[in-house]
Amino acid sequence: MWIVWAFSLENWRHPFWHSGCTGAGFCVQSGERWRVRPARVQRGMGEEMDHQIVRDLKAAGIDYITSVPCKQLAGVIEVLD
Amino acid sequence: MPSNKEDEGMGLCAGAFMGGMKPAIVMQNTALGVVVNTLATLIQFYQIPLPMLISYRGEVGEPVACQVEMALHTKAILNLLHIPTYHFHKPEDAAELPGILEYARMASKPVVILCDASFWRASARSVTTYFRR
Repeated sequence: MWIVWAFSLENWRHPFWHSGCTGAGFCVQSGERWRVRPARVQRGMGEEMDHQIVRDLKAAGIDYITSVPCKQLAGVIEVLD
Repeated sequence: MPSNKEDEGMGLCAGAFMGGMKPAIVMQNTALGVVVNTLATLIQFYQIPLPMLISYRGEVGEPVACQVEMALHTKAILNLLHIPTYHFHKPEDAAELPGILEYARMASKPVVILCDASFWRASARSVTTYFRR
């Protein structure tokens, strides 16, 4: 049971994914120092949803997107950039 | 393409549309008060299909008190402007996005997609479940 828990996707992603790293310092995976990023992006929360939203926009033929800085949608804006 | 202000973004989107592109804007609900005039006299008057992906600040789970007042007016303003509004509260709601974008194109109207804090919080928890479907 513990093995299943340890390797389930949701538990696996936080400590090891690049996006799961938080705070300032050095990232072992990327080899770079941290940039300051919005809290939601730092925790990697909803990152797949950010990508999914951008994919849907592209699939609908949206080819021009303008954005105003926004904390909650920072992940979407980052994917767009 | 970043914009400094929301109404400036509307102008950029209108220009892009008139140049043959399909525009969209990403912004925050607290700026809706700023863009009322631009929405009515530019986007709606010229029947520009403009999906507006808007973060819905000031809802349940909001940590910043000053965001709350505008949240109370957000849907009322959109209703007053007769802008079709869709509220993403759960991750499953995002499945409607392609249909909403198609609706905006078909109707040649701006549409608003409000994404609240619960949507993003729940997306973080259930994103794997959602995309396994």
